Amino acid sequence: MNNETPTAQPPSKRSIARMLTGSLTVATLALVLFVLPVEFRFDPTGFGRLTGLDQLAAATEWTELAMPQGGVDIARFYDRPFRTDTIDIPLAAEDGDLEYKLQMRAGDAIVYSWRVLEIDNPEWFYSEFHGHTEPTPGEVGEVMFYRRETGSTDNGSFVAPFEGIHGWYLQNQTEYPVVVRLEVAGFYEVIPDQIPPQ
Amino acid sequence: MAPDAFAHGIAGKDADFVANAEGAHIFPYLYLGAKHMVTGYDHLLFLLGVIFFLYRLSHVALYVTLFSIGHSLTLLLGVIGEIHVDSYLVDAIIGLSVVYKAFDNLGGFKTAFGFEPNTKVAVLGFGLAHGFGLATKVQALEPSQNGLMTNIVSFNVGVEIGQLLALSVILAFMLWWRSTSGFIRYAVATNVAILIAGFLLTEYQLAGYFLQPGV
Repeated sequence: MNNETPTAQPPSKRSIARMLTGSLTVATLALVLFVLPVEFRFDPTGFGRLTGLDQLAAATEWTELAMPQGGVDIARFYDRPFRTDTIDIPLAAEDGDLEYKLQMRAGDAIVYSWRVLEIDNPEWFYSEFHGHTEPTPGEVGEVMFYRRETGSTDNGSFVAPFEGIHGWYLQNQTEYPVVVRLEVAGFYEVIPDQIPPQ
Repeated sequence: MAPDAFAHGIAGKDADFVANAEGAHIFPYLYLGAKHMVTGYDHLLFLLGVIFFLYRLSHVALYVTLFSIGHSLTLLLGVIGEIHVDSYLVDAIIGLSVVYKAFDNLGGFKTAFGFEPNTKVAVLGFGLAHGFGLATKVQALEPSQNGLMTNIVSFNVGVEIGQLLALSVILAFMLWWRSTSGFIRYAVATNVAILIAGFLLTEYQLAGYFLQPGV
């Protein structure tokens, strides 16, 4: 019934054995030399490395790095959702100035951008980004300056080094009133009534 | 899942489709089934081996029907009965089916063991294994339960369409080849090549099973 499968000549046992072992050998060689290094990153003979075949497998390899102990905090976690605010701060002409501050605890983080909305020359604007401890009468407060600069825009991120009030001193050196638009997001409290009513 | 280079599954945007499609989608699944068959070299190698020495069309039809019955049965059973089989092991068995048929074509069984296993039973059995392989891959994509039956039947019909397409090409090639004088001379070499490919497919899947546990 199964004679639909004729062969050229009935092969001898020896030639069948040769074909079988030969095929298995060729397949195994191909597996070990080519397939294993590329597909499974397993290169017992070093052939994958020698030929650069292992580069095909290298693209998706990951080595896990331990989080550094101490030093820079890479990830910070908070017990509350972050907030975000956009605040327009008007400044009078000719050295009109104002301090806009956020209440932050040590380790609180923000990202911010501010810019003067309409200004002819960015050189006519000065700012100081700094923080200080809560003022207590009769005690010496601490202050830290993060950046002093001339320019009408600034973008940054910031992690409060101590609990206190952190923010920007802004000074308009033009001959006309300007508005500074501050956008901030992160972990902080807004201090009310910092901008005098217009 | 095995890496795309060797996997005989459903990959890329097709996988995204299966995972996201809600409800019945007859034609997309028909297409996926046909594509699976036409692009599945392990199926194609097995088919080539099966019809290599079949000279009569009625025999071709008989074997292919047996293979299809096996294939369909386990695809439906596997997906609907939620039977999970390790896809590496199933694919290793599919590789072995290629080995078996090439060895059989070389006359190996008669010479080495003095008997030839019933080819019809073997083809049906390997059809069952091929269907399980497919079921496992469809399950791995977690298709929506809504319209599952329609989709799996569509997929299965697509598999048969793809098989007929592939078969007509292989058959046309074999008919032409057998009419040339060199056929018998190259028949042995070709079946040795199929044997090598079958061994390699089997070893590759076994390597996947042992080297990537839990995938």
